[in-house]
Amino acid sequence: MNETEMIPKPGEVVLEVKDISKVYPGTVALQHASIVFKRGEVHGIIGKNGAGKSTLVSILSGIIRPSAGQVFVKGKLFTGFSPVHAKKEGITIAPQRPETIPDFTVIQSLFLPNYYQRATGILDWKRMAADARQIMTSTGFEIDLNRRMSDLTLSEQQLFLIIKAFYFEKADIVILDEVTTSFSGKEQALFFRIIEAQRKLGKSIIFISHRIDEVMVICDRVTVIRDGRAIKTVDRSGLEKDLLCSLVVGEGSGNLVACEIPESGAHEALGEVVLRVEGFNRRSVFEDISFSLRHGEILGIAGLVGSGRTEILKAIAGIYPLDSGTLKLSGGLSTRFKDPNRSLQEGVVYFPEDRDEEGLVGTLSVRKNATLSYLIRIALRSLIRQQQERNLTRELIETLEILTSSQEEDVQNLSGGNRQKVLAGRVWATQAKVLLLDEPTKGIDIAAKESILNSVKTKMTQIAGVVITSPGLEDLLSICDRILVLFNGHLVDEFRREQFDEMVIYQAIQGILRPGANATPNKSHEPERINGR
Amino acid sequence: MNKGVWLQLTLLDNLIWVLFAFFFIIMSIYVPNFLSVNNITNIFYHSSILGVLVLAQGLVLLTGNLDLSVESTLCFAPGIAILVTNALVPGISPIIQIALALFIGMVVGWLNGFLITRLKMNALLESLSMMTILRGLVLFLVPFAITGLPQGFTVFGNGRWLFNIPVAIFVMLGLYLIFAFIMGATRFGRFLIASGGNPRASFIAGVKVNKIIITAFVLSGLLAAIAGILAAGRQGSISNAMGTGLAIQSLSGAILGGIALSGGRGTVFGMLGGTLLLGLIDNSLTLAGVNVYLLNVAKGSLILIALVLDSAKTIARASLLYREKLRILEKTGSAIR
Repeated sequence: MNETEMIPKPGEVVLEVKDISKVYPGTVALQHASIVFKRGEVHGIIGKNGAGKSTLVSILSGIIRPSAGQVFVKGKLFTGFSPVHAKKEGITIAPQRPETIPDFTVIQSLFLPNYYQRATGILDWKRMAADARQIMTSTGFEIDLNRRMSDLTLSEQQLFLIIKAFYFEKADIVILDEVTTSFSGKEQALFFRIIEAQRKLGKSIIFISHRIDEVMVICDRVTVIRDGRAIKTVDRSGLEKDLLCSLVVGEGSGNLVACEIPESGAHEALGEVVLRVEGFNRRSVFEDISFSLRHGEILGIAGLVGSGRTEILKAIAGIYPLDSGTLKLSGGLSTRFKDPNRSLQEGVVYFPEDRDEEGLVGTLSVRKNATLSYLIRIALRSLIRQQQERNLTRELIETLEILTSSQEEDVQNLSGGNRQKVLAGRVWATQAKVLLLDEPTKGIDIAAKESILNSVKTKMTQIAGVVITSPGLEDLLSICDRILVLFNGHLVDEFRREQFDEMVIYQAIQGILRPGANATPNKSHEPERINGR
Repeated sequence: MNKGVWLQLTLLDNLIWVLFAFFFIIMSIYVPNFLSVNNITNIFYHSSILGVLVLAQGLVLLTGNLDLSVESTLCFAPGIAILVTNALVPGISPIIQIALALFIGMVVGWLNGFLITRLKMNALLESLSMMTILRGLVLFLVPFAITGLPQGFTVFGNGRWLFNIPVAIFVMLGLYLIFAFIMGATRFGRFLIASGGNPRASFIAGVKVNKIIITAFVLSGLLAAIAGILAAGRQGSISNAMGTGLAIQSLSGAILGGIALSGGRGTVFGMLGGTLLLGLIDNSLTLAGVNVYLLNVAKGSLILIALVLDSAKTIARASLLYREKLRILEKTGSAIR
């Protein structure tokens, strides 16, 4: 045990999980996973949504305890590994969604909570500013130290947290949990430089990402997680995009359909075009987006987090700003919606990805939530017809199988899956012609997911054309008639149902295009290998 | 849902009225002269001005904002209306004067709503400024008090109607009825409470949130002006200090009545309960000869108790509904989703 007292040498194991499992009621998030992290390496963790990456991160940072298995830090076995232990052992985490104090300036946040003090107890801002400026210059992150955190963009905040973890918290082991999702080319280059410098200093970096191209550039080793198992750890010499993609997707992926959904109707059954998006542009978010949607069609949009999925759907509904572009509805007139009210009036409805912040009114009852948009579009009299409203709600509760004690229950008392169904009911009740469903299956269990996908397939297509996004490909593969692939804000490929192949679509999401794809991605986003590696 | 659960839920949702009944019974037993027709009428009469102001405050609270300026509007609207009409067209019909007062109240409310929604000002700070500005203007324009108000103007505050019951009581109860109807049965009412509960979600669902909030402020200004006419009538004059301190009392009444400061939760019926409970405590403790300063202690404590009960209520309500859900599950035999 006295090796632990010595300073670890490069290549030495600093962190190890051995045979860990995490079981939740109803699901197994991790099973018998063993991974070794070494000093001075960048270790990539990749896998699909729900593969168990976030569970692993939570275990490594001590937030949750594994159901079985062991965690070793610098050779020491920890039984009840907690965030306090993690901090003491020099493990820090830069999370996907930065949490900062909005009114603090950059420099105030950088040193929090270890401010320099003079002997008198007064804070030594002069010395802190000097140090901060020096570090910022060395990383190449040019930022005014007196700007407020709330004024930084998301990617600037992410860079800030990365720099803080490495230079100010001085952690030996840094976990980067999908921190690159909003980076543009320039920020990515800066990020790569920081990682490279820190690796040389002997830090251990655990890099969780969805973007295989980034992983290829900076990682020394990559572990692929699938269905809660650590499938394989690949060394640098063996890193190949195709290999990683196939490890992530798994064998026999072609017919991997998770839910039992009735077979889709034939293509010929689709009706007239109900929505045509023409040349949607928003600087540095998405570019030149055009597609059309038919009545009765389910159109999937696949893409990584940060590829612009949500923004495009919101832009259609008038929630997100556009630089240019127009919409054509079935009437044929070119238009653009100035707010969601206008869009709802015209029969285009957006189902928000963020259910509780942007979707439901938690303090109101199931009934009042379910009929909110209905009252704006369909029931136009100033007086609400109470009986009609109750009947409609009862119908929605029955067809969508919402589990609630009554229509009058506060919606915030429902489980996640049932809240999601109330939101689906609200959208459906509008009888809109175009439904934009942004991740309707996010964060809910299998049964609720199946139920929602089922109602999209069998009910919503009866009245409308549906555009749908999802964090995982399985949902899209199981119900879509067509899938569009979004990469770095560009539509790069399109698959009809008979062409569906999870592996090929997954590769397209990663920017690896099949021959004959109908568009080319912006090459400038393709990261170049650094240091000739 | 079975009858027992329904009854418990109804009692929980109307906790303020349960409290009211409790205190009413206690006071009837222990305070002499409390339980007379005259005294009960008195409680209502003395609650009428505050009652209308609680309604004004409550509407804005439901949208998730607040309006401290109601107490200044209460004085400003009738004050300016009388000053202007007396100066320009002396002897004009009191109906015109009343209409002008109501209009001024609505303009003040519109300005509040505009500054808060369009210019994104904080409601507390904006309405605090407005409260100070309007009070300052009134103090400047009205040296001490405007007297000699026409009878048509004061009748709402000091007149009596059916069975010799003060007109002010009819005005207050009438307004509560109207707004209970608006909040319960109209689209506007539904959109208003949704905007307060989650403005972002309501906007995405298609509610014109800013328009709704501005309208709520306009209604608040209108109601404050009505409260002003009642107050002017009761005093027979408009003094420049009229309404001072009522903003906090209106907040107390609304919160006591179960309106959430964060918006989106509460009923008009609850606001009435809050108002009447404050009035009842005031009246009965005065009758019992309690020191006027201790009276404030009692009112403050009452609000504290209401807040504690409110948290307890939320927990009790959730557990009641949970048990009910389990019961339904057992009956239907389906699994928890």
